[in-house]
Amino acid sequence: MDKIKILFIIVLFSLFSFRGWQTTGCKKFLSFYFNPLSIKVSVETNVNTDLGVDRNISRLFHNKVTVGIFELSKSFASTFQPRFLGEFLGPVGLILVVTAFLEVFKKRKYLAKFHFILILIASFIAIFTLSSKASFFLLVISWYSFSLWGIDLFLKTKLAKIVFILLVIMSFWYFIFGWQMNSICNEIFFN
Amino acid sequence: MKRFQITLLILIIFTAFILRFYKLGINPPGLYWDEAVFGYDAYSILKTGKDHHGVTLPLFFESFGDWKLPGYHYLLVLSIAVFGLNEFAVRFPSAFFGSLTIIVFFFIVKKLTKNIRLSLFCTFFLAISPWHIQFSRAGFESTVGLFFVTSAVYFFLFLIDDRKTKPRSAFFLPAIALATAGLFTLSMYFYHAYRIFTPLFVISLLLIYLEVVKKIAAKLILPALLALILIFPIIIFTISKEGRSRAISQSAFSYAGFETNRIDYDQKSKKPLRFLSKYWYWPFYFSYLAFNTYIDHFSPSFLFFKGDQIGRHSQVDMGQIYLFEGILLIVSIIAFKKLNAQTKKIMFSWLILAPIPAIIVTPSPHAYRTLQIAIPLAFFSGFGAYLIFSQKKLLLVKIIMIVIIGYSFLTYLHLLLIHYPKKFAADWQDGYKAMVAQVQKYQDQFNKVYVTNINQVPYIYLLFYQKYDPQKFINSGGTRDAFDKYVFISDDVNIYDKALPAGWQGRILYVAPSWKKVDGNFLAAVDDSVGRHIYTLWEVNGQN
Repeated sequence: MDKIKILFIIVLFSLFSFRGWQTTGCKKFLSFYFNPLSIKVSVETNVNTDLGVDRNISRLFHNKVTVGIFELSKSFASTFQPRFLGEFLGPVGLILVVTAFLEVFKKRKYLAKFHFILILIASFIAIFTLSSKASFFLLVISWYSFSLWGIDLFLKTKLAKIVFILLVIMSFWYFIFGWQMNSICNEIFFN
Repeated sequence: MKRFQITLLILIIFTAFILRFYKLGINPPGLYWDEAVFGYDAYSILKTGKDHHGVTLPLFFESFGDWKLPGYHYLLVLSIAVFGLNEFAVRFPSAFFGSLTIIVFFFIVKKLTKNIRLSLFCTFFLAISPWHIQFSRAGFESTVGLFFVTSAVYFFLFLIDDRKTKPRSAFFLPAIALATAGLFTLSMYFYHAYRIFTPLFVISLLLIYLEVVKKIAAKLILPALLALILIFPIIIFTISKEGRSRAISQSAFSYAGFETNRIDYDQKSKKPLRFLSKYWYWPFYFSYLAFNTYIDHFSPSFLFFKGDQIGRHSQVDMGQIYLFEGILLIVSIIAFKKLNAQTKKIMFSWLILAPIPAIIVTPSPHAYRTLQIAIPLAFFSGFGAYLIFSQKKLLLVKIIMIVIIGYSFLTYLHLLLIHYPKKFAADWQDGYKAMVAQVQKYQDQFNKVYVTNINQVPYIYLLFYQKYDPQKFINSGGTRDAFDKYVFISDDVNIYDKALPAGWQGRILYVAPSWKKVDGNFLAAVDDSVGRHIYTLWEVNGQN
C-alpha cells in the first residue's frame, strides 16, 4: 500500500480517536430508539384533528400501517442526520463518506457495497437498541471504517493531499469548537 | 412535442394553478402581519403614491422590525387595483408567479436535457412540491423572486444554446443578454435571500459556460453594465443601517455568543485541552456555526419528516418534500453520470448554493430563505422517476411507485386542506379580521376605541380590513400607537388607571385580550376560525 495512504489512514485514525476520547465526558448519549408508541400517538392525534371528517377518510390517511412506515423511517433516517454525522466525522470525514458513498455504486466494488449494507444494518440495530451508548459506538465504528473508502480521492494529486491536510486541521478545530456535541450527547460533564 | 405530451404538460400546469389558487383567500387562515403591511402599503401607493409612512414611491419599505425590498409591493399595487384590498389580492402575485415558475422550469429542463419526458417528470414534481406550494399560497416575496431567477436561467441558456444554431439579427443576442441581466437583478429586488444567492449562482453559471462566455464577452458588456447600475441601489441598501437591520436582528454570529462559548470552553471542556481557548478565533468559530447551519438543510428530518418548524413555512407533520422523493433522489444520485455535463453542473451548483443565504441568520434550517432549492430537488426527483418509469421491465416497481406517489399526494392534500387551517391558524394571526368586524359593528357608538397592542400589529389590521383612507392616515400623523379614534395600549395597562385622560367623560370601546377580566359591559367575544378566543370587546366608562 502507498506510504502516503498509510500515513493518511493513521492521521484519520488519530483524529477520530481524538473525537472518541472527547466523548468520555458524555453522561447520556442521544438515543435513536424507536418507540412503537409514537405510532399510536401520531394516529390518535391526527384522527382527533379530523373532527367532522368522515371516519373512513380519516383512517385512510392516519392508520397504523402508513404512520408506522413513516415513524419507523423517521427513526431510521435520524441516524443519517448530517449534523450528527458531522459531529463525529468532522468536515474531512463527511467528505470522505460522500466520496465513499459514490464508490458504492461503481461496478465490481462489492466490498464497498457490503460495507454500506453494514451501515444500514447498524442503523437498524441502533433504532431497536435501548442502550444509546452502544448504538452510538456501533454507528461510529461503521461510519469511520466506511469513510476509508473515500481516501483515494485525496491521493490523486499534490493539491488533493494538501487539501486533505487542511481538512484534517479544520476538522480538529471543528471538534474543539463542538466539544459539547449537541447531536451526540444529551449531557456532557468534565470534572 | 407530441400531442399527448402537450396534453400532459397542460394538465400539469392546470394542476399547479389549482394547487396554488384553490381557497387562496382563506387557506392559510388569517393574514400574517407582513402580508397585511404589504397589502396596505400597496393600497396606499395606489391611492396616494406614498406608503403608509408617507414616503413617496419608496425604494425600500419599512416593515415590522426590518425593511422590505420593493418588488412585491409594486406588484401588489396592480393586484389590489384589480381585486381590491383583501387576502386573495395580497396572495395573488405569489400564487400566480409560483404557477408560472412551473412552466418556465419545464422549458429550462427541456433546454438543458433535450428530453421532453424527463422535462415533464421534473415539472410534475415541482407542480406538486409541498415546499413550493406552501410559499406560493401566501404573500411571500421569495416565490416571485424564484420566478425571476428561473426565467433568467432560461434566457441565459437561450443565449448560450441558440447562439450558434440559429441565424439571428444583430440585436438578438444583446437583447437576450439584457433580459437575462435584468431578470437576475430583478430577483434581488424581491427577497433578501436573492441578494446572496443570485450573484453566487450567476458566477457559477459564467464559470460553467466560461468558454462560450469568452466568445460572446463583447456582447455581454452592456448587459453587465446595466446589471451593475440596477444593482447599485441594492448595494447601497445592503450596507445601510436599514439594509442590515434584518441580518443584525437575526444574525447567527454574535460576538457575545462567541465570547460566552469561549469562556465556557475554558471552564468546562476536557481539562488538558482547556488551554486551547486562547486560540479560539471568531472567524473559525463562525465558520463552525455556518457549516452546521448549512448541513442542516440537507437533513433527512427537515426534508422528509418534520420540515421547517415554523408553522407558516411547512405542514410540520411532513417534510419539505415527500418521503417517496428520498427513493427518487437516491436513484438520481446513482445515475447522476447519465446527465450531460452542463445539466449536472447547473443543477448541482443550484443545489449546493441554495442554503447559503440561510447560514448567516437564525433559526435553522429555514425553508423560506432556501426556497430556491425546490428547483434542483424537483429536478432530481423527476430524474429519478424518469429513470424508473423508462425501464422496460420493473412493471411491479412502477405500479408500487404510482400507488405510493398517489397516496402521498392525497395525504398531503388532506394535511393542507383539513389539518393546516385548524392547526396553524395562530401562526397566521387569524382572528384579526373578526376583531375588526366586531369593532366596525360597535365603534360608531363610542368616542374612543382602545385596542390591546399585541406585537404592535393591530393597527395594520384596522387599516387593512377597514380599507382606511391612506391619505387620512398620513395627514393625521397616524402611527402604530394611535390614529383616528383608535388608541393601542399594552396588555398590562389598566384601562381605568392609565389609558383614560383625567376627567374624560366619553364612551370607550375596549378591545381586551381574551384572558383579561374587565370591569365593564361585555359586548362581544372575538374568536378565530377554529374557535380560539382572541379578544373580548367591552364597554368601559360612561356605560348606560
